Amino acid sequence: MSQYVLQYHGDSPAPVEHLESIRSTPGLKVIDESPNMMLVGGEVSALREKLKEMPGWSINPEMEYPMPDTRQKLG
Amino acid sequence: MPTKKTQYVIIPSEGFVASENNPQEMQFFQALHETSSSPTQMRSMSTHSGLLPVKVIDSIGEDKAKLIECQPEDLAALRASYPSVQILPVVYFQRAVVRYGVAKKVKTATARAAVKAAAKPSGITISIVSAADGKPVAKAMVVAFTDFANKAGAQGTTNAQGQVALALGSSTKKIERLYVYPASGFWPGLQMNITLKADTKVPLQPIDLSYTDCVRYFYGGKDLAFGQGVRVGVIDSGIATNHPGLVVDGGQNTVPGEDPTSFGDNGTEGHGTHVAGIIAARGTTPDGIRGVAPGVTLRSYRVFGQGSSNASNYAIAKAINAAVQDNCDLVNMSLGGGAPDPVTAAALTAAHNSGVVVLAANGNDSRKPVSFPAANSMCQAVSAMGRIGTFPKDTEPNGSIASPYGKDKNNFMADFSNIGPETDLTGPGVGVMSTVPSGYGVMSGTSMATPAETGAAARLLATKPAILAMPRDQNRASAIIGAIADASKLLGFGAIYEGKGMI
Repeated sequence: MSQYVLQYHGDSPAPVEHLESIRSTPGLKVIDESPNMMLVGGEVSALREKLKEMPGWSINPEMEYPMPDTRQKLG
Repeated sequence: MPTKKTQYVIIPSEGFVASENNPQEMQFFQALHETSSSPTQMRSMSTHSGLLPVKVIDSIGEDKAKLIECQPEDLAALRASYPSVQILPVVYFQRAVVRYGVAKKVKTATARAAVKAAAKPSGITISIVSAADGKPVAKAMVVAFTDFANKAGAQGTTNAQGQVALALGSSTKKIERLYVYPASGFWPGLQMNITLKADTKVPLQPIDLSYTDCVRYFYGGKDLAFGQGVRVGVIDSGIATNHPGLVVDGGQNTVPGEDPTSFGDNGTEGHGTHVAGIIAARGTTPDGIRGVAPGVTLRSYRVFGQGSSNASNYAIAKAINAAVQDNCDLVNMSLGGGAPDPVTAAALTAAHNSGVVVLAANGNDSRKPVSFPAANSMCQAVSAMGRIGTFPKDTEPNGSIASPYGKDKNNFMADFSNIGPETDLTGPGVGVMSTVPSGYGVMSGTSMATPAETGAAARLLATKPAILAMPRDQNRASAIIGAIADASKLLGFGAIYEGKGMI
């Protein structure tokens, strides 16, 4: 399941009605929440439509960074 | 001697239009725009290092992107004086035409032979032992390269008797390089051009915590108060909270689904604990070690899951936000790689606008471009250098010696360090002794150079109470970056290697 990161970029905390609307999106699973950020999974097409009406939000794919290492390895 | 002038694109910190809420940024854009109508005219920009000549070749608008030309040596000073502005190298795209080439047959044949040899079950069992008393060294990772350029050979991990079977395909084998990475207590070993046979014993140097490694060489000092009053967040694999040489004030585990209070070591190789010790270890030799700024208030933000070697951008952005909320002054991020990521970038911008400065590792891809997030203009990007004479012979750091060398010819730019115009600082990162969950270990990397500079920045900030007392906004972040730039000294590597130099 692809996961996405929602971020609110306003100067104040994200509006409560925005958060409630996001949480109630059909097919969407909220995996984690922190101030002005959410990690979500599941179906996001309906969410993308909602976000068009909610200024200040961005949605981007979750991605991973590897732990740095300078150890030599076989090719 | 000044190098050739290079072109850069200048854009605002967010979007393509400078914000009126950021007067410093707006003033910078307007000043550059004034000279854009006469592209042959040089303009002198005021920076922490004095007036710097900049030529504006094109401007989209008064508050919009500019194409400028300046000397690469001046870039770090420009960036330090206008930290919220993004200064990006001009990128030229090529046509997407696929051209097929002929692979070098010798190389291919060599690699094929090595793979074939490695597939054979026959091999050589060697022993890794302590150079001090000959006792076996268990759990050491051994990598034997028969062909270092092609990364061909065999590897394994020593058992309780310190033995490892290497599938090298014969009972004796010439090895170009033999690397040995112990879990802790010893320097990583490097033997070059040796012949391995049954019962070969490879000695490892035990760590002597009173030894002067590169961090102690540049930032030695015994004062436990260095860095006092400065809060430093380490975003990493967690910090071993029970290590006798470390005092962790608190923190958060930001990995979704894990206990938020579990910000200790995540059970991998102790990367975060090593990073933390470089900044803030409070031990005393010969039983312990002291970091660059042992007086800081140290906080741990764990972004790598339990037993995992990957961290998500969500966990990282959440950790940056948490460090800001916890009133950290500096944040160390010894991680990175991959494409620029808007999630982390947004968190970095928010941190800057809250007066927090993030130092990030350039990356360890051997002279490749600076990794993200270090390449983000909101970060202080740190490359790794080393110093001959700060590691014993037959140890792994000897394999990282490479040009360019500094004004002092014992200083060198680590062969693994990424470089580029985004580099702001360089730090000692070759053969660094520090804390690991099971005791003390030696690691190399821009991961180690970054906390050395974070510690040095904390030492510096502790002497600047006026800056620490500033309201937590972008002016505070700019003042911190300016102080770092003013205190940094060039080592003679060149701008793309060292930026403003070493604090």
